[in-house]
Amino acid sequence: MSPPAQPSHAALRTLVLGTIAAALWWQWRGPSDASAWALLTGHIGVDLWQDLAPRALHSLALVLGSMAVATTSGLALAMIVARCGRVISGAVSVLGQALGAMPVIGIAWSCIVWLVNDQKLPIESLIPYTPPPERDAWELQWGRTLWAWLVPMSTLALALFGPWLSTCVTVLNRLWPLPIEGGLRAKGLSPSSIAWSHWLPLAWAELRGRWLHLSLAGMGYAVWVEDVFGLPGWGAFLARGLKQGDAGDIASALYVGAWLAAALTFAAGLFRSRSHRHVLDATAAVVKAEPRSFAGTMAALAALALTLIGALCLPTTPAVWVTDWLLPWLTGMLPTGWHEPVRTLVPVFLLDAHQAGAIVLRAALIVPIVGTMSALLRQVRALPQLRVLDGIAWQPLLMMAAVGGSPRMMALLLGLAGASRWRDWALALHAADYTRADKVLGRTRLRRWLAHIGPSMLLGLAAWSLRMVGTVLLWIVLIDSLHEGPSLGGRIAAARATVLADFGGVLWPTLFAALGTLLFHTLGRVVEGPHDSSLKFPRPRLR
Amino acid sequence: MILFLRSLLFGLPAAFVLLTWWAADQVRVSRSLRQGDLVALMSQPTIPTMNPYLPATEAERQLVSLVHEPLLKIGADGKPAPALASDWRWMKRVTVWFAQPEAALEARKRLHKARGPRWMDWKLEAAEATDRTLVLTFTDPMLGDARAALQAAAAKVQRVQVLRVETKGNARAAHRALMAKPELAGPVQRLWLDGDDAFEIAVTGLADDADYEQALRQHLEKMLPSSAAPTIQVKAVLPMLEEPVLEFTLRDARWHDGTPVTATDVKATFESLSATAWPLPNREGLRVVRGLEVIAPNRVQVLLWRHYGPAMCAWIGLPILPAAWLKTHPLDELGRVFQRDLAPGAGDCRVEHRDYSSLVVRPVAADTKSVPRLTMVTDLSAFTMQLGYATHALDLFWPSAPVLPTATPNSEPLEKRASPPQRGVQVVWNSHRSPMDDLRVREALASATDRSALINAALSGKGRPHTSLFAPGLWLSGSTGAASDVQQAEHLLSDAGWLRNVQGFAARPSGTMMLTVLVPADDPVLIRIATELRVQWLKVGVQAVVKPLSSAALLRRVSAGDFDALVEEMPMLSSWDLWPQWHSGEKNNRCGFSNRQVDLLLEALSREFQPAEAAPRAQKAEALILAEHPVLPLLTILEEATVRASLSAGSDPHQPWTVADLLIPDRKP
Repeated sequence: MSPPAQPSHAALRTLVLGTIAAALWWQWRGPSDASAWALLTGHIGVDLWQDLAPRALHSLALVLGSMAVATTSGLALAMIVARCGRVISGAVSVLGQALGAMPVIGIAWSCIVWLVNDQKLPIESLIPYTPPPERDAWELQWGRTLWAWLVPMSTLALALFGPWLSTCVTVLNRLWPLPIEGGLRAKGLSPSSIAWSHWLPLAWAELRGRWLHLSLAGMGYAVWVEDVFGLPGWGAFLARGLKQGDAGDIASALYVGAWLAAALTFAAGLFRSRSHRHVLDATAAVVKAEPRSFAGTMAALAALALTLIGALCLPTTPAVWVTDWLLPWLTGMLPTGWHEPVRTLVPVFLLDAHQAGAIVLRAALIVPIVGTMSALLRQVRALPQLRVLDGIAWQPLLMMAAVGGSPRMMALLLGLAGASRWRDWALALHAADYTRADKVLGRTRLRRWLAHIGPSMLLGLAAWSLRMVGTVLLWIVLIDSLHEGPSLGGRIAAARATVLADFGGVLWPTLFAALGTLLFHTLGRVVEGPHDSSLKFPRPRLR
Repeated sequence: MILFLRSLLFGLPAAFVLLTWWAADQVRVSRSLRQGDLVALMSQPTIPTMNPYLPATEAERQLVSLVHEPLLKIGADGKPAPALASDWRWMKRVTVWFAQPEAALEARKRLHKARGPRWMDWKLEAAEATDRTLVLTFTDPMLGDARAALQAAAAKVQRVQVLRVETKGNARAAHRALMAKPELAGPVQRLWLDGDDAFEIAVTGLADDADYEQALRQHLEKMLPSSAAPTIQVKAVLPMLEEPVLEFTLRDARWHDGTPVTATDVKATFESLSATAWPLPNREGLRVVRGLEVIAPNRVQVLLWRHYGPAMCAWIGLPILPAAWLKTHPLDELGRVFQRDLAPGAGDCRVEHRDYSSLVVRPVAADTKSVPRLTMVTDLSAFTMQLGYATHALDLFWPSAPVLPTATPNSEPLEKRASPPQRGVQVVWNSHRSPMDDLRVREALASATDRSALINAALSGKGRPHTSLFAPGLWLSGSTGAASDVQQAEHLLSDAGWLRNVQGFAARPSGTMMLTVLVPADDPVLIRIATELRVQWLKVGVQAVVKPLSSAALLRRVSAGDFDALVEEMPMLSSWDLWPQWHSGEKNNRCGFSNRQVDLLLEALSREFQPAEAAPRAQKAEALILAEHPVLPLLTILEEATVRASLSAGSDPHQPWTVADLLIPDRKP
């Protein structure tokens, strides 16, 4: 899925929103005398700078190292397969999507089982061993330290590699052949030179936004990688807090996570400014439209408040007849010859998918209202614009915190994030040539909306919702894997104790989650159609 | 640029793969060098800070006892035994002040003329004059006859006034203010800080018309904040100052870096610990210490401010740290200094390495025939245990594994060993409220309690019956245990008027017996024990309601006396001072226990300096207290370690086991 456009001052927005999330968490979930100021100054039992700063640095190193490996190897492989024809590159893209749909915790356990059972290698970060000094040597010390870090780094890189590879292949395919290829060949440039000096920089214009977004997702994935491998990082601290339900630990980790995300965004911004010379700015175009009336804005604001309240009151648990009758019936209907864990996992998967669907349904109710409101407010110069939406859309950490908190909060944040996309679509469609042409021809606003804007918007919302169901399903599995329970993630958590003897306990829930995620993502792409991407990101053009 | 891009895209992943390959190879070689080293998994989330004074877990406590050495320890016979101190003795130092230095010299001369049998009668060992003072050293802190000696010396001494200054939280500031004024500081001969709220001084050489107390009060009122107005009282006016002295002679021991352990280290350790408020065992024994004096590199004297014999117990098991280390690493209240740096020890093992995930301990003696090293790793996950067991990377799951690894056909069997008990549980009766004010009811419930069944039901066998007020195995305890006897319990209840009604419950005409048993809500072990007790007491018809409460609510209920029984963790006393818990005039005596004979015994015990002499008195006091059943000692809780069978071969599974048995099997406990 394409990432949302990077807002201006993204690092600052990330920091501010993350800090607000941490403060709200502490205020609501902390003890009765919880004070947000105490959290920000690190006086809630956790010494932020002494305890968490080294952990944050460890996590930053892990994420950046993984991103470096994943992006370079992904781009290199994509450059190779993109020249091997559409069929091969399409297959590789699907494989990448499948890998990206797998919960990172399943990938981590798979790595461990492969290393221990097949390669007979120890996991140095979990059970370290240091020989006595008289038997030790510098190369052994370096080897142990590197092994302790490179294994989790490889695991995280693998989880990030899949979606990155898929994106790279798609983008490179879309840009090839270059419109100016003939001219360049006529200038005497070799195909290889054209690819490396023109094709790749053009592709990077689209990929760099995805790169930063992926690094933020990698920061979220680090929670599970560090937890599984026992690394002393920020992610392991947050995982411990979530497992134990320690509000202080969670709030502290969210606060430090906001700084981490801001640091990553800032670093990416610097990187972007360094690479700006070679590529065009591919972020969404700012469209100015006519101002709307103040009364209309106020009415939309009231509608927004009502929608928010209504969406928050929707139930997220399935009806009793579903759990008591439908799912057992469905399990009974499955052929008895099926692998038993698979039979039992079908209803579990359906319940998780139901929860993800309910969350996205709520969010989908919020999206058009808030998105339209935001688009309207953007045209009223006298009122502050809802810029906060851009920050939320750019904040995957908040999503994670919300999933860990409650489905309602998750739906709210997801809806606000989606509203940002809705607003961009609306503004882009209003500014589209054919819409303007209709306006010049004298068609009414309603007819223009019915003819061009409405169908695209609703189709886009449906596609977005389907994709979001897959993404939310993946995150629900990840969050639930921190606690043993009846969900897919809970099954993974329960199976970890015997994973070496019985890998199926982790494998099957992981595969179910991956297939579910992949299914919904694919459905989203099918609904969206092949030519819709221009609405999300204008195609870059050579300067 | 193209070359750079190509190198980056293809070179970085290739370098990563090669580096990982090389690291894997190095790790294989590292593991092949293990050669008998032990690797243990600790069931705690982080590597121990190795704070010698506040070990967080049993595992850390055992590690600390391996690495650090105290002056005294409890020996195999349960009595104090030498550790860093090869010898110790009690003395008494008596100091008198004269108006003129010549008078002090004259008195000393007269005493030395009387040297001989009279000195032996007085228990006098030395008499030294310095300036205006004469210091007499007696070999017995109680029997040393200072008055007779001073009479023989015809000493005309100056009176000593002992003043106590109390000022809430400002004792140190008040002390500084006092010492800053020369006319007030001059007469001060001794000072004893009693925490942050009070201090005591001994002043001498005052003029007859001088009102030192008034001058001191005026000065302090001027110097201290108005909210901390000092209270000054004259505690005593004496002809001399008597100070019990505990002298330690150190053996030839060395720190792990090779430097010798000296008396200066003992002094530095005491001074560092005095600045903290850590809840050390027998802390009262350190509180009464006025100061330490280094007599020789291997001799140190501990001067007490008052007669308090159990002060010796404060040094039992109290690790000593090097003065040089303490100078560069001042102790902080949270003990973070031990997180940052490991304190050197003088024990049988030293910490060779510590990082975020592992800690390596190895015996100091090079000729040890036991296990070369012990590597500790921490993780709570059952997976790590499976991983370690499956890959033969772990030998010991310590102190207890939450989930035991599943044995595979090729895996070695595991055996359990119990560590020495560090926690005890008791029931405190409210003897001020009916029906527990009746001795027969308390005795009946004690008889109805089957400790072994309780341990099996509530602790899955991880406990030992305990019937003493002291820690198990100490030389002080004389309790021999009590067997469960339901018939006797029923008989006692009948005697007390509690007969079974038609439903089978103990009842009187006024109603059935229903006990309220309080228990801390945050301790599931205690809740299980209380619930099982309820079941056992029901067998004799006594009904009970178990009420888990938060600490604050528990404290409120207990303070108000609104309970019948309280199940709580019992203090594992290793000192013969029972005063705080059982003296009738003591506010910590929550049972309200009052017995004049016991009070006299406790007063005598607090002035008893010899451990051997203290034992019979402590046993008698314990017997008198337990005869009235104010509490019901129940059991001690054990922590179990799981060890590979080959490592635990030869050890008795019913005896307490520590990791020292693996690392230093020849070491005497």
